[in-house]
Amino acid sequence: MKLLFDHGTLILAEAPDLSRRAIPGLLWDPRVELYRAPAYRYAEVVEALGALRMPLSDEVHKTRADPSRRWRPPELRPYQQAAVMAWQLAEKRGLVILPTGSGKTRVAVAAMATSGARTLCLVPTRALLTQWLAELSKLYAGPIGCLGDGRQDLQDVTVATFESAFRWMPRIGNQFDLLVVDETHHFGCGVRDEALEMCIARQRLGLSATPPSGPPLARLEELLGPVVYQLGVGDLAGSWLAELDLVVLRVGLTRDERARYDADYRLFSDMNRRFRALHPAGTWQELVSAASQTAEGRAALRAWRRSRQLLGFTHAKAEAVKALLARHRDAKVLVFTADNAAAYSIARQELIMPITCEIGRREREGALAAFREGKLRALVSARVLNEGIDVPDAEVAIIVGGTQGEREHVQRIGRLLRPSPGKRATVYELVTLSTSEARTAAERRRGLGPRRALSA
Amino acid sequence: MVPGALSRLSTHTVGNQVVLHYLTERDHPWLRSLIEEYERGVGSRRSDLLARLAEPLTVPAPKAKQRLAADVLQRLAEAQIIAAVPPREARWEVFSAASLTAATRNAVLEETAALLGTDAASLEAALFADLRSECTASPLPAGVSPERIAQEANLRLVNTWIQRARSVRITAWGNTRALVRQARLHGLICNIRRAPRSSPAARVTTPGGKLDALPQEPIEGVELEVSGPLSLFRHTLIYGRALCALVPRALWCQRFELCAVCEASPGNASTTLVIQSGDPLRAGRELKAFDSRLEERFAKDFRKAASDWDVVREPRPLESEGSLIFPDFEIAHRRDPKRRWLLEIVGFWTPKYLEEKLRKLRAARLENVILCIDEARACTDAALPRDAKILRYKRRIDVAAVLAIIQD
Repeated sequence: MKLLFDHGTLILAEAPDLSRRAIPGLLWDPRVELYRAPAYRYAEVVEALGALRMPLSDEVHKTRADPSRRWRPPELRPYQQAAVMAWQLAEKRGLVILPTGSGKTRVAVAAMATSGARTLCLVPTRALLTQWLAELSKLYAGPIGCLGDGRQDLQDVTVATFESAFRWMPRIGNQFDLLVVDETHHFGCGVRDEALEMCIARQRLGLSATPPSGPPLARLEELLGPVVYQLGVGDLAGSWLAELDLVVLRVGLTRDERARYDADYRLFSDMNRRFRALHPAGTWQELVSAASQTAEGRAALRAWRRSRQLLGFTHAKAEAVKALLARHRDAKVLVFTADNAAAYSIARQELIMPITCEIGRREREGALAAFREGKLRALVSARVLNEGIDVPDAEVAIIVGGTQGEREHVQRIGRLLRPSPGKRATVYELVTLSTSEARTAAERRRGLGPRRALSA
Repeated sequence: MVPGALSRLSTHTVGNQVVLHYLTERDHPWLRSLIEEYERGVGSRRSDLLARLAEPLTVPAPKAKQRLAADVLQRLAEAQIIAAVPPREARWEVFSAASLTAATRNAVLEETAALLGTDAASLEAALFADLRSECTASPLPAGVSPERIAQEANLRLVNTWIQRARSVRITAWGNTRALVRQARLHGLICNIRRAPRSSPAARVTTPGGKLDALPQEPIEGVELEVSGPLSLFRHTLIYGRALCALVPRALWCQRFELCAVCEASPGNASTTLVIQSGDPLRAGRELKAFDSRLEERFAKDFRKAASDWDVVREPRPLESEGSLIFPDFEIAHRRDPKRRWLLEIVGFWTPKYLEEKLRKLRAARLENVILCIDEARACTDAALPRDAKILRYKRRIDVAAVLAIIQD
């Protein structure tokens, strides 16, 4: 029998009839008259075929290399050491959940050094790609490959953006033995999972500050392994993370804003009430799907979007941002908004640099460097700064609005938690009184664990 | 691709078959009105113009179709940057200046504008003039007509469905080679059978309008079953997208019918989509004559070196054991029609693969075949099959070696 890699799958050639044998994932493919299995089940397939005690020529790996001697193991904090150990004990498969700023990348580097295997690291954005390349080059002596941001270079240790990995995996899925996935909560419920399915790597490590729950977590556990280590913000704040004050500022609406908001929200809530009466346990997707069927439903959804847009950046919020920026004139401030339009409004009005998906990579990197050096005192962003990007010195965050709930909130606050001597971070959360935002803001704070919010 | 809700609004189902609401000639009046509305808005902010294109037009238009067409229109037009100062420079100067001083907003703008040799209002206007949502709408490229918008929109609608398919079955006549090449380029599994011959009357003109030049005789047809390797287990988007890439290629065939079994959403019942010649879809660019520089260089070198021989790109497919073989070149002697050779350039290979290939060729009674194999793409170092006319090459196929074989 001969086992080969074929465009993200395994094919078994010259095999006897295996229809009565239980080989995990292996199916007869009548299109090519061979047995075929998804690549991520490589280890199980090899083990099961080995148990048949028949000669097997494994030609799945294109090349074999040993990058292990090129690693310089990093120094680890106690909890980082514990995380690496837990991953090793789980047969080098699993998810490590640590808060932002606690050094997840370091845990990954230590795991890679311990494993010594050919490694592919997947990261969500081009900015993180650059950050990972810089971090790895401090501890790995060999050349580091890069897929993404216009580069296509494969090495024993390679970093790729999710998007590039998705496109390249049918061709390179057999070249790595360890798969490291940063910000792993982006997987588990969508097309990105295909990239993980098309790779043969048996050793897998997922990193996140905000793991999903329910079916997406189950899917992640299937593709990467179980949660092997987990700590929250509360476990590390004050010791390995900066101390944090969370201040909730409740603001109102102008008369005109209130009238528009109430009219729009009423339209939506009437439709929502009717839907809930018929489908008490209906999901948001089901509601949108049902509403899209009628003109009235579509109008209600449009009204809901308008009301969200209004709450995203109200007159009172604009005033509050102005006052807070003036109050923290000498601090490094990050401002988070619900959308790009609000980010540009604040940038225009307060003359602070926006970091959005529309700003090019070089300019973004330049702005972040200038922020670190103190040449820019504040940055405003809708989503780009939400996760991953290393902003070590930010002391104050102003959360003007958000759309992604608990996970986004935890990630944003994480931007401020990287510790420095004597640092005490302050997060201002602007919440509009007597609107749906009051409820969603309370819900998203749950992700921070037991922590008392100061009200103002 | 088209958002899910929009694609649902642009279709209905009859039994198990999904019927697409194509934009047709009947839609041309409102499409013309939409184009006029766009042209009126050239120079205004792009996001404002898009909002205007979503509003009712002077000629009544179906809402879902109008949204789809507006989206196609704005993608066709490139953004235009009109700014007194390069926006990136403006941002850096203004925001860094504002960080260093406690001066008022207006004072910062005026001071920086003076430094950059402009006025405060122009500087403020330049701040985000290069960003997609903030920049101005530029004129449409030449040749944008209601018909083109309709065809582009229809193609996007079709692709939205085909990307949900696990496999497609295509029956095509004439110019079928490009389809097979496209499928293989994308790593798709492509089972090919010969289709019944088509009568000349059944033909439809290709986008290139080449029908007139063709002889009026029945056309060879092929039936392709195309699917991604992972479709054995489940639908995947990566191969769904690869299947979409076949549609613009199919439109270059003289006649075709494509049948896809699509999942409206994961786990839902499957529906069938059929598209065929004559559907108002926009064809892709005509494929280049050669798949690679290597092929192009070989044809050029060969024509220069062998004046007694003709080299024909993409000869007729050959049948072997129920499937079809598509050789890359046919080399025919000008004065002796019996002296004909086929030449095929092989991608990744193993000796086993080559043996199988040669066996199929022999089964088709094809002895005059040269296989060219790239030394860099060998999957093993095992010995090559004996008695085969196999030429190894590195970057360039040796024309002299080919001539030595065929003149032997």
